[in-house]
Amino acid sequence: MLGAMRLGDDDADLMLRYRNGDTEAFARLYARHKAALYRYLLRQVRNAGVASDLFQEVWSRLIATRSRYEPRAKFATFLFHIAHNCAMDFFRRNSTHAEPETELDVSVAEAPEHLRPDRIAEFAERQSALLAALAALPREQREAFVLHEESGLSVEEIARVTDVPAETAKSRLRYAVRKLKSSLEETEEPAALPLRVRTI
Amino acid sequence: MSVPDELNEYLQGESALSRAYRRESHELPPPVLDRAVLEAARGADPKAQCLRPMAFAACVLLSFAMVLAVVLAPAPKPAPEPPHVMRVRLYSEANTARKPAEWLAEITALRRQGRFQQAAQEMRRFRLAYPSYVVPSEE
Repeated sequence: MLGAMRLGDDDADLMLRYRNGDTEAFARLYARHKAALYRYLLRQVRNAGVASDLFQEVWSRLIATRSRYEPRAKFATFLFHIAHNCAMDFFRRNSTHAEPETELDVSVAEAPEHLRPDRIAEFAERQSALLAALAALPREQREAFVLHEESGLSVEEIARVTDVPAETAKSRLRYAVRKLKSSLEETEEPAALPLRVRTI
Repeated sequence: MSVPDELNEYLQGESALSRAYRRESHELPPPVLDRAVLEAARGADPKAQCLRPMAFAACVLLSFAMVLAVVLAPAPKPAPEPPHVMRVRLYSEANTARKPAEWLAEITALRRQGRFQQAAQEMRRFRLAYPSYVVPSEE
């Protein structure tokens, strides 16, 4: 998760090398970030097929704009900014069914596949309680949390990626953490109970 | 614990929430996506791209050269003339209708009239028509 962070930003060097035609450098860059990017998109759109399409779109955009790449910020910020834009474009294309801020309030008949409550419920059922709780968060809060977890971005970097003030990003992350922590505590409680009984 | 403390604690890393998330978040892109992206990256190789205009220019130049070669080439040479021998034979066949003695008499007459050039020409034709004929010295 925080691997990219620990690696420092020789990512930028790899990207510059790729800009100059070194495709091996791209392969290394791709290997480093593909998992985090895929999971970011998957958590955003909650549909594996859509996530795969967007995943390809993000890399295609990166490849197409490589000649304009300048290492002004951390590479992950650059990559996830593209990903954020791709996801936003996707949501805009389906704008008549913009994702609800409060979860699961779209009717089955009107919603596109990725927003249908039954599909989201199905997606959540296949996951752990924590991932299901994450999937139920409002999109912006979910995004802030996943950006921090998957790519190790700071609050300021999350703000840059999502084009919002740092305070907004911080607030989103705070709410996400609070909700997920309480969800985690709820799911851990039944397991902790027999342990207490044994100690008595 | 205040809300900012809760967030700061989380941001410092290694929180229970982060550990739980990392335990459960393992999805990876399917291999087919890996191949597609890496191929796209190779396809957009700037070295390969900079060669494309050169290849295109080379094709254009080659085509232009071929058109020029066709348009500016000298007109095709006429079919080679039939061998001289053949012409001689035809000429010979055409002239064998004239008897050697009569033909030589005509040549002699031309000389007498002072038409030496014409006589010499006729004499060459005679020799082609009757190469083995022994011409009397006075002719």
